[in-house]
This record gives sequence, C-alpha cells and structure tokens, in this order.
Amino acid sequence: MEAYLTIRSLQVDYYQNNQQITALKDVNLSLPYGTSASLIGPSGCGKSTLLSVLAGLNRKYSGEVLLNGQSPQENDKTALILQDYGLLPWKTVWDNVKLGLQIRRLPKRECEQKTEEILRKLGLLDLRKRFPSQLSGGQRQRVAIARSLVLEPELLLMDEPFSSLDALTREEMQDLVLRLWQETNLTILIITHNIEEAVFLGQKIFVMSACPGKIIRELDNPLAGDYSARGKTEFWELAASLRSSLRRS
Amino acid sequence: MLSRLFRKLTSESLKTVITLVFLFVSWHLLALILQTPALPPPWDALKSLVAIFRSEIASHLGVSLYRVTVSLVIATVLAVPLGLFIGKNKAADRLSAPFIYLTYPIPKVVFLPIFLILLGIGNVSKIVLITLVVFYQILVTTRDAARNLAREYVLSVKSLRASEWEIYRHVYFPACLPAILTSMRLGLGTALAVLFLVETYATREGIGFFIMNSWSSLAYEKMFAGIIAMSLMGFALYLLLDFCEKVLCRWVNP
Repeated sequence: MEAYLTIRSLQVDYYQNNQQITALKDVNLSLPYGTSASLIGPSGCGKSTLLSVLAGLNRKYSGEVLLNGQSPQENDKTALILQDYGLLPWKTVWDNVKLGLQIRRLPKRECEQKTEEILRKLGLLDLRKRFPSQLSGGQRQRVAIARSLVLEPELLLMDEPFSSLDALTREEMQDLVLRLWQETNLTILIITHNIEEAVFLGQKIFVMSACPGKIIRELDNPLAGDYSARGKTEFWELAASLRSSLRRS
Repeated sequence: MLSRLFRKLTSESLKTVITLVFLFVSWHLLALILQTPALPPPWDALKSLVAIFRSEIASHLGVSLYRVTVSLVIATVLAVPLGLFIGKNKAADRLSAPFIYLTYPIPKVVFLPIFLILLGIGNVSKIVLITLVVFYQILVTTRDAARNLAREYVLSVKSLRASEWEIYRHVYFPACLPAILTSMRLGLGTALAVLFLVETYATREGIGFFIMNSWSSLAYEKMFAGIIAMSLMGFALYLLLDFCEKVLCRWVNP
C-alpha cells in the first residue's frame, strides 16, 4: 500500500534559556492510506512536538515530512484534536463546529448544512445551542471530533484525546473513533499514554523513547478494531510486551 | 432565554428600588441631624430636580453626556485593538511595557491646564483629557487579558489554518471581551470623576459647571438636583454597559 504519511530523519530542536534542546531525533515513520496508528511513550518524549509538526504549526524542523506528497504547511487535509479539546468557550457547539468551515470560506449555506449533518451523525444536534462549559467531558470530546470531521480530513491527529474521561465514557469514545474510522477511511494517528487504548485503536503501534524522542519499536497489530479483542489473551500479551518496552525506554 | 433574562432583570430592579429607598432614608436622617442649608432633605432636592430639569438641567446634562460618551467610545476604539495587539505580540509587549509602566501612574488630570492652552476651552480639551485617562485603564486591562490567554485556544484555531485577523476575531477579541467590558465599567467611574473636574474650569456648560455654579450662589437644592442628575446619568451608562455584557458574554454565566 502506498504511504499517506512519510517521516524521514525528522529532528526538532528548540531553545530554552539559551540552551538547545533536542525534542525529536531521527524519527522515521510511514503510514499507509487509511491506517490507524497509535503512538505511545513516556511523558515529555516529544509526542506533542511531533503532532505540531504534522499539523503544520511548527515549521522549525529538519528532515522530511510528507503528507500525501505535500509538506504539512501545504496540506490542509489534517485535523488536530488537542488534549483539552481546544473548544472555544465563547462559542456554542454549533459555532465551534462551524468555525473550521467558516475559515475555509465555504458558502454560508454549505457551512450550515455540513454542520447540521455532522452534529446529527454524532448525536449532538440537541446540544447545538450550548456552550462547552455546559457539556460533560464525553460530550465535549464528541464536539471536538465533530469539529474535526466536518472538514473531511484525510489525516486525523489526536493528542491524548480521552485522558480526562472516566473509564466507561472512554471506551464509548474509543468505539466511536473506531466506527468513524471504519466508515470514513481516515488515516488516524493517536497519541496516548494508555497501553490498552493503543492496542485497541492502532493497527500500527509506535513506541517512543524520551529525550530526545525517538521511535524505538514499531509493530503491526492485527487485534486493532476488534471489539471482542479487549478480553482476549493475545490482547493482554501484546499490552504486556508494550509495557515492558516502555519500561526499558 | 429572554424570559429568564427578564425575570433576572425584574428581581434586580426590585433590589435597586430597595437600595434607593435605603439611600434616601439615610440622606433624610443625616439632613435632620445636621440641620444645615448645605444639606437639604432629599425630598426638596427631588422637587427641585423635577421643577428645573427641563429649564436648566437638561441642556447641561446633554453636554456632559456627550463629552463622557464620546470620550469612552474613542478610548475604547483606540485601546482595545492596541491592547489586543500588544498582548498577542511578545515583541510589541517588550517594547511598549516600559513606556506604559512609566506613564500609567502619572495622574493625567494634571495636564488639564496644558490641554486648555493647546486645545482651547471648548469640548476638545475636555474630551481629550477624559479619553486619555480612560484609554490607559482599558489598554492595560485588555493587554493583560490578551497576554494571559491560554495557548490551546490559539493553537486549535491556528490548526484550522486561520489567518492572523481570524485569530483576533475568533479568539482574542471574544476571549478578552469580559475583561474589556469590566475595564469600561471601571473607566466610566473614572470618566465621570474627570468630567466633573474639567467642567469646573473655564466653561459655562455641563452638569459639573451647573453644580459648582449652584454651590457658589448658595442654591443648595439646585446643587443637589444637579448631583442627582449626574448620578442618574452615570447609573444609566452603567446599566447600558451591564446590559452589553449580559448580551455579548452569555458564555461566562450561561
């Protein structure tokens, strides 16, 4: 399969108190079209730096990053969901979801139509007049997903998206992401702390080491997306193996 | 939503009435104790206000309202964009910080004589002085609000490929609006105080002049009628800003 995302010898340095710090070093990664991948690693390993490069927010990197053959700045088919959802508290659910379309200068009619469609799909239409502060954690996460998907992205980047949700809501959201992935054929890269989540959602799993961030293990995971896998022995074995490589990193 | 707003407003107006009654009763008691013509009982002041409002007070109040409103509008229009810009751009902040830091504490009213010489004794000198005072208050508050804005909001909108202007429009301005309106309310109080001061020098127009003029002719009922009129004007402007906040910043207390 042809790769959608290709990263070759990516290095990101930044300066803090006049000291050069290498956040990412020699990162190589390749994702075929429509793959879901998860990336796990200890905190402070530069996972979020990697996402900001992929989202086109950080241009100070060396090495090669290609999304469908384009640089992250040229490619506007990437959607980013941040840890704290990044919803604007002063906009209603409706306006938050519509914002991306508005910024892409779509005709007003089309904006409204697409917003309504995606809100209905995610069961959020009744909440459209609410502000983020009036929503539960799970609902907020849903809105953040709606806001990303309404732009019909090719690559969805998620930065520890479910870390502040309770266990049940978390599984519900994982199922939702899975369903959306199967329906839309998106390429997904999800950063997580949670090993079980990585195994459940990632067809490919990347393990990163800390300081400087580097990919130390890459494996294919046939169990991804299998609802029944959560209870299987293989699932737990894989999780245990990942846990030990994380310990060593 | 409207009915809820209405109910909230009626309960608030009830509280306002009770507070007004309390104020007037205290005033009355104080007048009874002091027994001086310089503090007439509230009823006499109110009667005087009604009697001379059209003939004497209204025109002075109109001039004052014009001066204070224009000043507040100009100060806001200048200070808000500048404050957002400085708060957003670290380099601009570094450059302007010492300047603002050094000039902010200067009591701007001391420039009144200079402004009177340079800009004449008309409305311009008065408006410029009030604007200058209020400008600083709004500028500093807006800048600080913009400076402390959480980066995640900017990032999430930037990742939608928003332009600089769109980041101001969708993130900085709405995020800082509650702080801006608060600084406008505080600025209004200052503006009224400065208004009174500028209207007591070299002018024969304005409610400040009316109050001081009544005072020097020992017409204390008239003087208090002027004071009540000026307070009511301030109250009305305050209510207006309050209403703006309720409508524009619904997200703060939804």
